[in-house]
Amino acid sequence: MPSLLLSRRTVLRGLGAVIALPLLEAMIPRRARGASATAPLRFMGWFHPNGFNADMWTPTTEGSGFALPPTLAPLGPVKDDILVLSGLTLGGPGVNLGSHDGGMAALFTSAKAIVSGVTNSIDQVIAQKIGTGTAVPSLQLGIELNGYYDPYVDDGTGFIQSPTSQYDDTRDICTDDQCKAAVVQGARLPNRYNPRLIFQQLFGSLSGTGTGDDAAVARRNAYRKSVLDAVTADATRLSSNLGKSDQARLDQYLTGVRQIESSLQNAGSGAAGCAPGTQPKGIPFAPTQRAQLMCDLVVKAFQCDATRVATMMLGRCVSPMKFIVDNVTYSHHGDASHWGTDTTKKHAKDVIDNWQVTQLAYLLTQMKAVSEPNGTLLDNSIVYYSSDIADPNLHNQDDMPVIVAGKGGGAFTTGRHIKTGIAGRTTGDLFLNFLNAFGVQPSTFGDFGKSPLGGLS
Amino acid sequence: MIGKLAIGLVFIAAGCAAEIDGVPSTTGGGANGCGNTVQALRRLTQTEYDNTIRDLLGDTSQPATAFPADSRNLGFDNNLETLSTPPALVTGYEAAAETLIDKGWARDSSVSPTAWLRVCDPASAGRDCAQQIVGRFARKAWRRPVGDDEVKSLMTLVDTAAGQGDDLVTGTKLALRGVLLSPNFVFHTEVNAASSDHALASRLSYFLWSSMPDDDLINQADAGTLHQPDVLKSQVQRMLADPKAQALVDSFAGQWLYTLDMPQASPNPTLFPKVTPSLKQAMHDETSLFFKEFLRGDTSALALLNADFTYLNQELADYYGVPGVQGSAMQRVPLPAGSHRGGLLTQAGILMVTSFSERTSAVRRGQWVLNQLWCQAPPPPPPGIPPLPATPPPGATQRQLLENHAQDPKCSGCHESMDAVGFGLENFDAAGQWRTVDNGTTIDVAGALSGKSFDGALALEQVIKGSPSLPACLTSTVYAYAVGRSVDESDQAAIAALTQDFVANGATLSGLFAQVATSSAITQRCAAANAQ
Repeated sequence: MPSLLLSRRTVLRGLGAVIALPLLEAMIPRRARGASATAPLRFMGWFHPNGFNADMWTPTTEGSGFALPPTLAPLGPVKDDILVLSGLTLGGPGVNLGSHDGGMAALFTSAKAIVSGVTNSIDQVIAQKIGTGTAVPSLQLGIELNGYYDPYVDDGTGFIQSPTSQYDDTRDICTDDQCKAAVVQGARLPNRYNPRLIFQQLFGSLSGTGTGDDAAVARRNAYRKSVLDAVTADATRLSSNLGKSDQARLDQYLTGVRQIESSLQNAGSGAAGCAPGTQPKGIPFAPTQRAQLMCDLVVKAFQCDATRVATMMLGRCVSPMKFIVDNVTYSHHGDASHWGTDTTKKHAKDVIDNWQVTQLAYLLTQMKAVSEPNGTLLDNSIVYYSSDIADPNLHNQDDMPVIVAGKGGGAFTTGRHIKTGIAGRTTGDLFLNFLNAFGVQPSTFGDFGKSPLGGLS
Repeated sequence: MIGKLAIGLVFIAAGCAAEIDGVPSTTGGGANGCGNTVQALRRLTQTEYDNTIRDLLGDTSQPATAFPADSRNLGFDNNLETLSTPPALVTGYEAAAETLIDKGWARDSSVSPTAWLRVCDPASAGRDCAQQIVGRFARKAWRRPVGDDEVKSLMTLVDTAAGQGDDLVTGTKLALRGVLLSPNFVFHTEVNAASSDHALASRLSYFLWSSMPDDDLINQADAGTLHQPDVLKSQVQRMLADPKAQALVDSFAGQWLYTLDMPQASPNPTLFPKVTPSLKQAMHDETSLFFKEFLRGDTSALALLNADFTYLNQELADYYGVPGVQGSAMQRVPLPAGSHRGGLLTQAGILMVTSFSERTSAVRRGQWVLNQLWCQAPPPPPPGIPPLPATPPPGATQRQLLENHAQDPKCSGCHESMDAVGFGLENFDAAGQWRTVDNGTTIDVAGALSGKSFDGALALEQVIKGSPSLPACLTSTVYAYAVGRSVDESDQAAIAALTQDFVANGATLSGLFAQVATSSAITQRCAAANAQ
């Protein structure tokens, strides 16, 4: 087992002894490699359930001098770091991709249908480019499981009047498609919900974080590597008997094995002084606390280079999360989003939209506060914020709510409102801008991305 | 929900294109009785993984829910053409292996010959015990005998831990993790099967149980007797009577009849306020229990259409307007004379998951009937079709809107067959509730299927029930689930023969599953043909 040797020294001599060993490339912390003059570019996709009330969202003027409308008001502290894009469509002008479900499928894929083996979401395409060396190639987060957490009303799951001190540590994964946004090779990736377990996934294999026993971390990583070596040997034994199509299936599996090995190689070498902080206790009952804890995890994960790609669902697709507005309890989807002509309900939807944007503002403010060699973490990120539908009554997908935050490492000139709708441009076109920022130049994206938008840089 | 709808019911572009799906088929030319996708490696579906872990480790935590979701683009999730293994899945396997072995080891409170893992104590009995545990577990998990070289390879992990100064328990657990992460576990592998009987045992058990073979099957395979017709037949009977055959209700019917989609259907709550989570669950349970009665009993499966009974609880019975059903428990209910209900096409769950959240779709319902009960998928829609109006003009029924739309020559081809079927179900709204009026206008439920005209859902069921297409389609559907791939020309002879037997033997579902399980669909090995 020659591959174990590096880690074995780490284990046997402790971290300090590593310095005395020959400095092999694999053992150099990520940050120390490549002169560390620039921080990497990161991507985050954010899902806002149930569309938006455009009258409270869309700025009235274009360009840099725009005033933030009421729903976007929480973004005041980061106004200069965002692009508000209005007029984008999901599938082209007048095209309805099938209400919530079709919109959810297209949200990050720009695809008219998720096709097995074919469809990838924008975050996954980026992760394939930049994520493979990190501890977690991409992170999928959400705050609303099946069996909805409800801060105020007992919905049969027992969460009544949830005070901020209460946590649920028994759950993590949401099983149905309405909790899934990221898509790889046509397979939807489930979100994780439990901040404690996400914390372990992100930082559990990193040494030098100050949160655990580095020798134990190194030993666990070495053992993981040994198990991967053993199953690679199994695969080699198998492959001698296989035909072409089976060999391709086995190669897919081995690609996955090698990706984990690559993550371990980097993770085991330490997080270069980053401090992920205290491990969370579980899923907080209170939704705002839940959302902010997830944002904290993303910021720390980006900072520690534990991942470079994340998606976040601030509620399920067709979210029924309950909100109290003016002493009345509203289900986001059932009561507030389908407001019809009821202005009281419309106001509730405005308040909920505002709450959602407030969570985005929280994330962006944290990111802006992190200094990096070349600007702030926010400068070196692209955060894409949108929904599955546009108008919550019509369930259409024209004039989608779109915010792009962060300068994308210099790709975008932020602090502007841009109307893009004249030519019926799509969010898939915008994804081509994102990919260009990450150094990928495909000619199309999904079914609807045909050419990058102009005027963003 | 898109990825979970089977063939056809994915949304695309607009208009007729928005109603149905054009997912390309990747099937090519056929070859021999094994179809065109002869293979030896097939990864476990998420359901199969969870069930296997349940039977292997007594662990019911369903770890595969954390994996990338399987696709149902081509009908069933076990279709080889859609079973890819992206890196995120291998990451899931790795994390699950560590957790499952830690939990499994802790689950054995003491050393016992019948323990999940700890049949001896490595701490006191030494390396031989570790080897015994590892070899036994690999044999069960890999569903076949294991070679000395394979055990030896696993034992290097025990020695690795020892080399780090860790104890034998730590090393044994590492080796057990290796068993679960191995391609020998996550793939069905016919190449290494010591005898064809072990491969046969796996094919049988994953077909009827969606899980690993049990000791009885493995013992017959070890003895080399499983393939003998009388042994095989009695094993299949035993398996169909076993509680694990519930997998045919949950997984086969779950995907064939869309019961899996029912709990997460989302009719617009403003338009359909009666559709609560408990009502959706009752709809799911109705169709599941209805199917199960046919699976367990000896009633002709043709009566899935136009049955005189169903399963209801009080909430669903109230929804249907069926009197006299009390309580939340589902119960078998004879349907009163003159009821609008009776048979699959009148069950609210199926009508709901083939609708949009705001309105019915005769297109989707028609396509569902043609796909699932008639096995004749309409061609995919052409591009560039204008959408139906989101807000219908006053007094216009969905039928009228769609008929108007289908006059477009680009659309009429695909719509003729589907819409004429779906129109017959328009008496049920998007949440499966009975209605006679749509948007202020009386609904016309005249329709036609394959040249036979009918009036309404119950008459449509009679047309389907009376046609030879139904038994042929049921057989073909079960066959596709058994072989785990799209059926092609090369399968037609086998399907025709099975259909004949099915009809001749009373057309029972249990008989059909038994026939397919003992036919070449399951018994014939195809691995050899893979050496290309």
